[in-house]
Amino acid sequence: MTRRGLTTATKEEETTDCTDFTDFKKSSGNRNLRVSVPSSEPCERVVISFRNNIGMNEFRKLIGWFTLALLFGWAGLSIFGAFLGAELGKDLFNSWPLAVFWFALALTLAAGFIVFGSLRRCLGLLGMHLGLLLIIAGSLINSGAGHRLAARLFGREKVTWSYLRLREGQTSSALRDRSLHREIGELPFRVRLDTFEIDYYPLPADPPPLYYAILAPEPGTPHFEWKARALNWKTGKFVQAGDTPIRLRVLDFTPARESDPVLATVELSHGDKVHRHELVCPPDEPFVRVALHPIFPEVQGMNRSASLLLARPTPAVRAYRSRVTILEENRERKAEIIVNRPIRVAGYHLYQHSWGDQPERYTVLLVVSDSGLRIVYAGFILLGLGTVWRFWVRPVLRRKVEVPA
Amino acid sequence: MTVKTSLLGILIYAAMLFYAVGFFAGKASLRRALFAAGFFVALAAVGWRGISTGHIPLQNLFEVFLAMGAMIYPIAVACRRLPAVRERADLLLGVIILWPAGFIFSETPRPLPPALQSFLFAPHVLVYLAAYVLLAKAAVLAGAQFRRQPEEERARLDRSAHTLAQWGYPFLTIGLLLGAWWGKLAWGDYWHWDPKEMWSLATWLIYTGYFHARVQFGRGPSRLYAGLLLVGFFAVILTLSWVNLSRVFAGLHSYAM
Repeated sequence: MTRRGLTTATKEEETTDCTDFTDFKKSSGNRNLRVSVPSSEPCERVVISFRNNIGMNEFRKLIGWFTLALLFGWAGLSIFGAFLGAELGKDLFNSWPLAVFWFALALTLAAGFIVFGSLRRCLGLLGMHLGLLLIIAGSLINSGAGHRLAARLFGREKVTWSYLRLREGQTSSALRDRSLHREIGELPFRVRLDTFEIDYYPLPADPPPLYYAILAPEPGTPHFEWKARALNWKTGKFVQAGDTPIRLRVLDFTPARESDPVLATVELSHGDKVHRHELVCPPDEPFVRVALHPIFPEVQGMNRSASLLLARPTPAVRAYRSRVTILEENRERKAEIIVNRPIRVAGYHLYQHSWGDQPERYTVLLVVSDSGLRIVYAGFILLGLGTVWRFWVRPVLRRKVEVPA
Repeated sequence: MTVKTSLLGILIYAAMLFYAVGFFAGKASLRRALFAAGFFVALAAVGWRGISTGHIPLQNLFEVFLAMGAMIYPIAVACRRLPAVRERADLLLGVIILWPAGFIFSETPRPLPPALQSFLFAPHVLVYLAAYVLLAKAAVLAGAQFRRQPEEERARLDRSAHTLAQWGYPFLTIGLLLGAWWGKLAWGDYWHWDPKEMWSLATWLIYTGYFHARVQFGRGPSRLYAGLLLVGFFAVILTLSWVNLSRVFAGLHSYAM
């Protein structure tokens, strides 16, 4: 119970002996009920005050229903979007019908602020709802449509999402699309790649991977490629070579090391015929293979390219970093770009994205416009703090008030 | 199902055994002692895993379930003053949570990829785990409301389930926000429409809907609220397990497998 009474002109007051506030509130059907306990009165005599404003209450109920529909509708759409995958999900949530949804959500939030006084008065609720509103607003500014609108209104052309491809020693400001082939814009500064480094974890002393593989046409090209299936093997244990009747077992192996060849001695058998083969994968080769058909030509229906592959394990990447020089009009500065540590330059964030080796090693930096980002972050802070205040801090403070020392 | 014969496996099975024996123990003091013993063994397993891998053991589902198996005890202790407490259910939850770590997921350690080398890695995962354990407890109390029992007991269960949801929801929110911030630092955007993100958002929205429903329909115990808590927890289970394991939801969070 609160000790605050209402002082507005529309209130009516009545006195009741009801001791259960929840029951009274339910039976009265009034959602905008206040209970005031005059400090001089005994607790049995409680003054119930409420606004006799049926129309407003109905509107509040309507907003409440609409909010529930939006929340559960949004949850359903999110699950549907998850089944579509990231690309299609993004398209769905950025489509025009969904723009109506975002607009309705923002409008409902705004209406909530007007009709529910508690959303304005209670710090936690204010933070949570205002935070969500800011996140939606910031996301709209940061979206492709937001950038197009800013360009039309303020003449500020900015590429939302693009890539910068640089070789060591190369300086560039040309922004490319995801394929890295097409130029789609230009940065207001230039970037020079000084060095690009990759750190690897040491190779684990695991058994080398063995595959059953066949050659298959590469879709959309005149070329063929290996279609490989990993074999789950243990030393001395027989396993089936793919879908063939040939059985194999590994008799001995040496785990992969940085500069040594990988070795595996395998025994292949079909019926009474047994063939022993030593597979040796040199350090500069990704794999070595033994063709099965020439050894077992009598096996009916076996693909003529069927092979056993011994692959050289590739070490896992520990970190990769680009050391760059940012060349602005009157100054230049050096920076290191690493995954999780982007740099910010003139309204853009530069991220370490990936790298390539063809025709020579290059780094790929992701360039993202940060328009609206501060609004989104402000929304995050408000939403987080508001939730903590509402659900953790406020109940503790209320308990302290209710239980006098 | 595979049985682990390593030291780590033995520690996991020992913790499960303590929890299971505690579940059947008649005396409350013995039950609590066994719960505490199980916790310390599970904590030792987490510590051992951390030392042997050289990173905070929250990288994949094996490590996540292991950490949750240890987390259940401090959370259960923190919840002992609630009007309705189900200590046996906590012990059973401990066994259920440790089961995938003990028998389903591989303990083979994998190096930490660059994207996971962030100061946000541990807080992001830990707050989610705290939320999941609290919301699992809330779901247990919500489920109990569907059994026939006196109105007073149902009210107690409803109050406790609601309090647990109130404790878990901020963790869920902070987890979502830390994930968005981390996504921005690692991948360039705070929202990637990745299946895991979408399921996490759907889970958060269901619990948000639960709190709004309580405001909309009043405060008394209701099967609607209990049902919403169960639906929310079902979404948690799917987000934590199915989304990571199914090929249907391949995405940026695939390393969690």
